Amino acid sequence: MSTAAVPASAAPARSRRLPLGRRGLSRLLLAAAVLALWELGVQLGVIDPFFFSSPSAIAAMLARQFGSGTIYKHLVVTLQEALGGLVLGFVGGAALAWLVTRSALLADLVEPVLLLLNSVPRIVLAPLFVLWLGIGLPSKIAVAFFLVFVVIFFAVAAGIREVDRALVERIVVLGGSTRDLLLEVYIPSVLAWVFASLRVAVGFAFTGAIVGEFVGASSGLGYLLNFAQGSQNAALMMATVVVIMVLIAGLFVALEQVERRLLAWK
Amino acid sequence: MQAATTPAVASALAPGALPRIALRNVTKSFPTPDGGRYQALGGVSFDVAPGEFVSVVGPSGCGKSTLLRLVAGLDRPDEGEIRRDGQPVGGIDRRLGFVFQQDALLPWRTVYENVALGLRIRRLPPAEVRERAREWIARVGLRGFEDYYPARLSGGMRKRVAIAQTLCYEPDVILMDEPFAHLDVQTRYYVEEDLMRLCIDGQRTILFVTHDLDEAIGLADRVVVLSAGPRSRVRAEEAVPLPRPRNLLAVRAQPGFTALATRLWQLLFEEVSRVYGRGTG
Repeated sequence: MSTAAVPASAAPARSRRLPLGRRGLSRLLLAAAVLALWELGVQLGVIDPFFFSSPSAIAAMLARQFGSGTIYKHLVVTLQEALGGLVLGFVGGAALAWLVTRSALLADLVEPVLLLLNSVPRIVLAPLFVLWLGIGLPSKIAVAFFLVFVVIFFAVAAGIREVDRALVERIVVLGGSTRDLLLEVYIPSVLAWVFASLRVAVGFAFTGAIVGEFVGASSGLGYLLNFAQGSQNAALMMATVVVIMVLIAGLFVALEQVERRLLAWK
Repeated sequence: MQAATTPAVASALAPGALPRIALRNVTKSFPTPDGGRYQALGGVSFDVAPGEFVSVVGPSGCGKSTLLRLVAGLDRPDEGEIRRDGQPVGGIDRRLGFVFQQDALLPWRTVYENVALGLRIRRLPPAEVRERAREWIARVGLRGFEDYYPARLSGGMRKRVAIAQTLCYEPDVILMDEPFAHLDVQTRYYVEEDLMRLCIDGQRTILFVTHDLDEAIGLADRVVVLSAGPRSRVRAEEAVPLPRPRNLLAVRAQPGFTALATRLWQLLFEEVSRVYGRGTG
């Protein structure tokens, strides 16, 4: 009702949203309210802390983990595995995509396999990798790689194939070399496609690393989760989940900054 | 058959002078989706003298764009020959500029970077690249927009960027493929005026494809009419009897313009009717 009174000059879709500062504040208040209710529920005995822990217990656990420094070892291991898988998956996916767009024969051979892999939950192969490569870093990197690789392959292949022919001809007419074509047209075009799926790829890299650690590991955040579950320590489990979520959220914020800079032309 | 009755081909050339561009019996066909071949050009011959502005008009599908692509070296003719200053065209010609129908600006590069593109590809010294790109941005009236990305520019401004990009490396031949087709009438007028001011200096040779007869006559020294496809040929070549410098609005009221426009319209209309006659018959 109230929006009907807004003059036509005001954008109706935006007038309903709060200004950015107020929006952030209201979200914070909501989160604080949920935490407060949770804590209150535990204190009043409505919520069983054995299963759900409590915000104060989780905070204490986090303080202990970071205070003693034990968490860092696990954090570093998971980061190494996820980023290793991400980088290798990136390089491998991009390289294979480039080869496939150059050779019709290779495309016929490779693409059906990758399409199939893209449509099944590849994570089910995590136990196989642990079986083959042992419980150390390599098996987790392999799982993360395997998840990321397929996503990047399709993004890069699309970027190369969907390249604007008019732009390619523009460079050719200007007398550009293959190097000019790559730098001026192909790489920027592929970059736009890759960024569209980079967030998915980062998520996959951590999924691969952590699930791999579930299956078999002696360190890492996934191992910690598994250990907490085995020792029925809800506070440790929740604290580990918080660490994982903050880590990935932080990476997403960083990615967004890079993206804003690289894709400023959009 | 019409080509046989074409007036003297080298009309604008001094006797013994070498044409900048010479087309002789050029044919070109393309594969069609149903497995056959469509012969767009069926033996096109005409010359363009150095410093001349020649417009090419014809019904859609007559192979006007194909013709430009052949001259640029983007495609090879099936038969016949295209010579540039007497030398057969065999590949991309770096002294040639091509303004496409779409702006074909790099969306991820700024106005400045787009204008400087041809200079950078030519590996000119950075100082010279900067100086010439800035100069041409100013000449097409885009000073202050150097750091804008194409997505934020209007159609007319994008066209100006494309023109500056082509002119700043100083090609002696410029090909234009319906460059202003997507602009509204007012914008188009200003960009055409710019084009005349910047390009027509008796040095640069321009081959300009359009389907707009007024534009063709208003800008050019000579108009070449192609017959309807397939197998289109030169139907007529007419010199434009109008003095330069011209004002595009005033020029349309001159008797020479009206007479020529009427004559060419008649020719073009016959060709377009052939297309439609075939289509409905």
